Amino acid sequence: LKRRPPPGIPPLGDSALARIERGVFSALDERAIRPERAGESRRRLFAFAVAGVAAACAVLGAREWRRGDAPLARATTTATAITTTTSGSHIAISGAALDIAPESAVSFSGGRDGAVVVVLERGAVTCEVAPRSKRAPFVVEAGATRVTVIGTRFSVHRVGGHATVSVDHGLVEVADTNMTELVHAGERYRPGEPVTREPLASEAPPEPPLGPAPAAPAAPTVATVSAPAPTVAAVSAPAPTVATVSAPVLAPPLHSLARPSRHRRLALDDPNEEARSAASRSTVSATLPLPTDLVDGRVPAAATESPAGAARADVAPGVVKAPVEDSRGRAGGPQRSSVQVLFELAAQLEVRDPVVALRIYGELASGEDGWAASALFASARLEAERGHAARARALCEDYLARFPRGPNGDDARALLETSR
Amino acid sequence: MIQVVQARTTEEAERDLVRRCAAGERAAQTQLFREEVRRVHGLLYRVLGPNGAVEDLIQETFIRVFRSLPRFRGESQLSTWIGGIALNVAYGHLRSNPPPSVRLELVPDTRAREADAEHQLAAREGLRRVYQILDRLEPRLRIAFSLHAIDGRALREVAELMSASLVATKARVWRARRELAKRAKRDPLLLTYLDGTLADEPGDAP
Repeated sequence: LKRRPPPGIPPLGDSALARIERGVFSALDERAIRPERAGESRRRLFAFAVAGVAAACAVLGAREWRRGDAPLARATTTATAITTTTSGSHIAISGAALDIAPESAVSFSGGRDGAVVVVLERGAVTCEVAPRSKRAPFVVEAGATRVTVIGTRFSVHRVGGHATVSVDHGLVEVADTNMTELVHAGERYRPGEPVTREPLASEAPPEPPLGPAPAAPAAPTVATVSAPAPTVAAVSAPAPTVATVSAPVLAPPLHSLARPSRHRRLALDDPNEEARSAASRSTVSATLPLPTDLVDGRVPAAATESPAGAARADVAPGVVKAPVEDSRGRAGGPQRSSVQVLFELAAQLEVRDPVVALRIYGELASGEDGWAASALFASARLEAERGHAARARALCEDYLARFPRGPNGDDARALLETSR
Repeated sequence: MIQVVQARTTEEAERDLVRRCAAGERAAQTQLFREEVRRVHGLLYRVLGPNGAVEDLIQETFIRVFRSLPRFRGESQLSTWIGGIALNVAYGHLRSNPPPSVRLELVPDTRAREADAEHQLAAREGLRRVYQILDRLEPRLRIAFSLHAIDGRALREVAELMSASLVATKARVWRARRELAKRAKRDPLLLTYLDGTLADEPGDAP
């Protein structure tokens, strides 16, 4: 069978040819294609490998950058120091602005979890720090004093081996020898002294307390809650007398800035603290002096000693704990905000320091209000997350016994089931 | 004697052209492009059928040619070497882009010797159906079949272009033809086209 000739091929038009030619040579120009030499493919492979490694490093770097404050957090190995003489200095770093006072020396380094650590060698520094919720921690160290920023503006002034800390707004946690202190806006921390409130020009005069009775005669509600000494050792000593305030009080007024200074201490590093804590749950609530100006006049002056030696304020659900005054007459803020702040602090510490978080939850759970219920369940959840199923079960059972209709009742039952 | 001298001259000219192209001389590259572009076009057209991507593939072929020229060792003719590159480009295209079936209006006149319109129409439709079936074949079978059975190149030349053995090339053509024949049983028009235009030649069987 003889084959017919193959079907024809349409010729390429001149315009198509010109188009292709232009395309070929412009591509050659664009790519700067030069004739390949013998070793070129090997060099190209090497270049690809180098580019791959560089890309991997870039990806890792970008990831780390996103996780924290890269410039200073990376400064773990190469600390930078700034020394001022007659004039101060202002520097802006990622997420923070620092005013370094004259005659000061500051160095920067990195810490755990990519923390930015500002070490104040001498002088003073004022820091304005963006909230740290998703950033690496920001820490200022001055001698034995260590300030961990939660998002605030504050000043640190070094005095010998310690430092004073003044907080303009926000909240910082100050750790000094054997103690940790929360310092709020308008408060000043001095080593060896209780946190005092600094006078603020914007402060409004204290409003009269809410409720039918004035706050002044609140003396009957005063409870001697613990040793009033300002030092940690004294605070963490077992409280000789405690009070249970059983009547509900109204919510605090809005003029919380006008209240006298609050004083909260957590004895964290004292080696004897654990033993004392087992015998007496007085570390947090026993050292929470509360203002007298918020006390409902109906609050009875009942003062009974609890078996655990803890100060308890039994209040109706949804109502804040009754403020009490310590034996030195020093008054604190409304308990609601104190409890809330402590609760938030514990929540923040869950990852970084779960033991401290559990301790705070434990103290908060000693109450009877909504915060106590939340704190009790939070401690159960945290124990379960840490793998302590037995403790989690016990806490859940405690929760269900104490707060059978609590907001986390279903969650507690579910947690109880899953931790079995 | 004269032929030998002419062949040597051609060979030397080709070697010189390759050397200049490899050195990046634009005039030489243009000359080579213009000498080879129609051949490359024919090859790609035959393999792919009427296809809008042919122009792009020609361009890609020449870019590869100019990049690879320094590696040309002169073991085959330059045109064969370029044809091999064009087939590689076509093979890559077929693997990554399954070709759509060819539309009737894109199939050109078959330019059959019989000028009657009925035969032209039948040839166009037959070729369309052939390419439709080739679209479903493995690219190597398609290339071998289209170069040998449609374009009429010798099996040895196809084997050289595809850098394959003669036996492998024969097998590919035979498998493609078998597939076409299987389909042609249900398609009289295709059968007529295969019998008339793409008939077996002695030695096609593997």
